[in-house]
Amino acid sequence: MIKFVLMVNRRGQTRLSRYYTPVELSRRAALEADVVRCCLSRRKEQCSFVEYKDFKLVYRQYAALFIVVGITDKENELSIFELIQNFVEVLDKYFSRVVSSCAIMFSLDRVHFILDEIVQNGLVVETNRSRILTPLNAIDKMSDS
Amino acid sequence: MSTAEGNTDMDVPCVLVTSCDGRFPEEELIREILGTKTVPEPIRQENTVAWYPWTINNKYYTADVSLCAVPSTFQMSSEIAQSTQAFIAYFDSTTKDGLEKLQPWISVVEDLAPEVLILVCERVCENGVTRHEAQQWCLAHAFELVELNPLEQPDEEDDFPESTGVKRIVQALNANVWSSVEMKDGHNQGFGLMSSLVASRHNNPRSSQDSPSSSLPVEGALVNEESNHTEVHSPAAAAQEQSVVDAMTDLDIQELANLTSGDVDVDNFERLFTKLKEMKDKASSLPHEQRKVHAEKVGNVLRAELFMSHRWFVHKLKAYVSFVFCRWLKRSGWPSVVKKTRWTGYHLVKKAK
Repeated sequence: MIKFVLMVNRRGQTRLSRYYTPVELSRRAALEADVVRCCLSRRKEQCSFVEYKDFKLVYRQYAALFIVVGITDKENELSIFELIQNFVEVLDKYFSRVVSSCAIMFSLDRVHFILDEIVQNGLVVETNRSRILTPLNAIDKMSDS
Repeated sequence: MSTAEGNTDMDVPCVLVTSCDGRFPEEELIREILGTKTVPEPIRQENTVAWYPWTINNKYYTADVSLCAVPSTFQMSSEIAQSTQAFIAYFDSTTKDGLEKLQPWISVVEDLAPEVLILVCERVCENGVTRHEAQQWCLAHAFELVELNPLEQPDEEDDFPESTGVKRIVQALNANVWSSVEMKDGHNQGFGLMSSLVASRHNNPRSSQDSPSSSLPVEGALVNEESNHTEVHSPAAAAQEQSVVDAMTDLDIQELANLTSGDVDVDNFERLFTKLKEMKDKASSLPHEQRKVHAEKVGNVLRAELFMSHRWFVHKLKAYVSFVFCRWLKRSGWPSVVKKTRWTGYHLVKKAK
């Protein structure tokens, strides 16, 4: 099961966080800082899977953006690794090739929307790119007209 | 957030640029950020501190900022401190103690806590400051490391190439919400329908204070409207009727939005259907034109809400139906065809060959 999804920039500032298990608000900042430090301090050639406390972290770097996913130890790391790629490809398709911190900061609602189409309750519910984007495109079309 | 009124230098956020390498002046970095051939004339100069204007313009916003060259911590003034929202420091990576020269800035930066913090060098150096050292320093002080001329150029084949050098500095400066930011249209309103829902919820109490007559209680509105039917020819009455109907519809829509966006439970569902029936009855007593407008408004809200919830609902429904079916199978004498899984609780066992 997925515990949380984080998007951070290279400085370690959180750009997006989504939790699927209850974590107190006051504890989130500390957890995020620790998790991000854990991933950022690793070299490029090191493995993308990290054992962290009683769960695991899977992270991937896209230019200046890190995506970190916290998972329980029963979850398959490779599938999550591919899920991150898929998520970024969907974002890439939606924002037509300009996924940057900027796009995420100024369209946070849409990024959350896309993430919610893919992951529900800590489980992967949809991976098809066009199906993920259908509701969002429909809403965009409606608000345009 | 908005300091657009008043155009003094104090209001313009500033990017503090400093260099701890005597051979590399701050102006050089500023020139590269501005992308000009020569260093432009500063807009302001006080002793060794110089301000250069810069307008950040991207897809989402425009913002006027100033690039402020400050040679050392001794030139810091409260004015610079107050306007600093980004900090860029250049250091000499060829000597071992390159990073130590930044030490005086650490306490200043910790005080100011700017949103953007960038550590710049020409290229990390095996004999001076190594990549590992620089990166550890950055992690400890929450900086981002940017090499102007990195040894390894980013892979062009990569789908998401990493930008380096000045390009990355400019990118990082773009990905910040400056106090002088002016959003471009279309990127701060969110979803049209969602925001209109939110707006109707926020605006309604205010509009009812402004003109109490336009938001009569629903019962009163109904009576009013019925009595208006006979005298619809008078323009004043028609206008009044319109406003009453509008207010009534707005109230209804507001209630509808509250019902659909709250926690999904059976009670809410029932109330939602009762409300819809009520609104339909009300609409049927309206003249044709108004009925159309009314239907459209209600339709918009429902469509927005359905889009938000139908996928979630279908997903839950499928899971629930299969769960109930499997449990029934198990309890009614075919436990061998179902097995427990972590996805839906139960799962049908595939037929053995």
